[in-house]
Amino acid sequence: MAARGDPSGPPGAAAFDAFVREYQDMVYAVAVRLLANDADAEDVAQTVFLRAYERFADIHGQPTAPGWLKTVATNLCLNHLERYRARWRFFSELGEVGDQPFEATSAAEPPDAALDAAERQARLEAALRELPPHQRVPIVLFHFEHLGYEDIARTLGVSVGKVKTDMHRGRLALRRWLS
Amino acid sequence: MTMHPEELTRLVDEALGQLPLPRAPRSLHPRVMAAVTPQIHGRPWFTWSWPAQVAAMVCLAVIVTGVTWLEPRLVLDLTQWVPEWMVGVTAQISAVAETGSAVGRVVQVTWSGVVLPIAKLVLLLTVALCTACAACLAALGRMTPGGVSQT
Repeated sequence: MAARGDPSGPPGAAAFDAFVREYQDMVYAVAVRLLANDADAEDVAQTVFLRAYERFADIHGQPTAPGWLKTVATNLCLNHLERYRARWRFFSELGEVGDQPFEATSAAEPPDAALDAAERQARLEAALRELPPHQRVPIVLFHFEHLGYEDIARTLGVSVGKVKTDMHRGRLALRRWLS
Repeated sequence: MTMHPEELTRLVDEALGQLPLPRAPRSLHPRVMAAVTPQIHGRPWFTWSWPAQVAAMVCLAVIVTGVTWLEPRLVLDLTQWVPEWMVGVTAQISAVAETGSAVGRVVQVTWSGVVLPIAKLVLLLTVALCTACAACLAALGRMTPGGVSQT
């Protein structure tokens, strides 16, 4: 597969370069919202594109390419979080008893009514990142990746009831930053 | 203020939907392209799969052996067709070829007499060490920081 406009370069190099430029923000956004960590998100995004390069002949130019990238990014992020899952399950169970410290923004000062839209969005994004993983991950999968409750529960290996409870607590923590 | 969960879901969905897409850091694109460049230009021999490495070594050995054994005859045949002023040159080439042939025999004797007897032992030792390392890494990979082990 020769890259158009780059006859002297290695085959596919220019096409893959354009592919990365086109989708890097989308892949990074999925990763950084799921992981809430810039460095980890960049590592995962790089791995996603390396996987894409291995199958570039199959996915390049296909309408399913963005979905494929999002799915791979999501799975890699969940694998990344898997090693901490035992820990945040423990925290989650504590949270069910009613502990407030895990709702990070609940103790924050109420937002200034005069905040402009951009500032409010920035604080909402920050509040989303501050949520504990068991609340943040299902919220991101639901609101950004448009997965259903059952799919999220199956993906995370927990019950639908727990997903709904965690998401409700996460939404309550975000409520103060809603316009 | 109490809010119905469905209303809260709708408000959160609306607010999160308005968030701008986080921009990838500038370092991501160069990192990705640097990582795939070796795949584009070809990987070094030591990163090939082991069957490819063995096949490459066998091919190289066949070529070297063939040239070592065949070249003296070729040189002798060619001397009938070259002018006299090149005879000295061909004699030197022939001497080099004979030297190469002798070196080939030495390598062959060294291989069969020294390397081959211990090769199996080294191979077994290497496989055992690699297996032990893989087992240790797998065990470490299942441990979470802080000493909590996943089951």
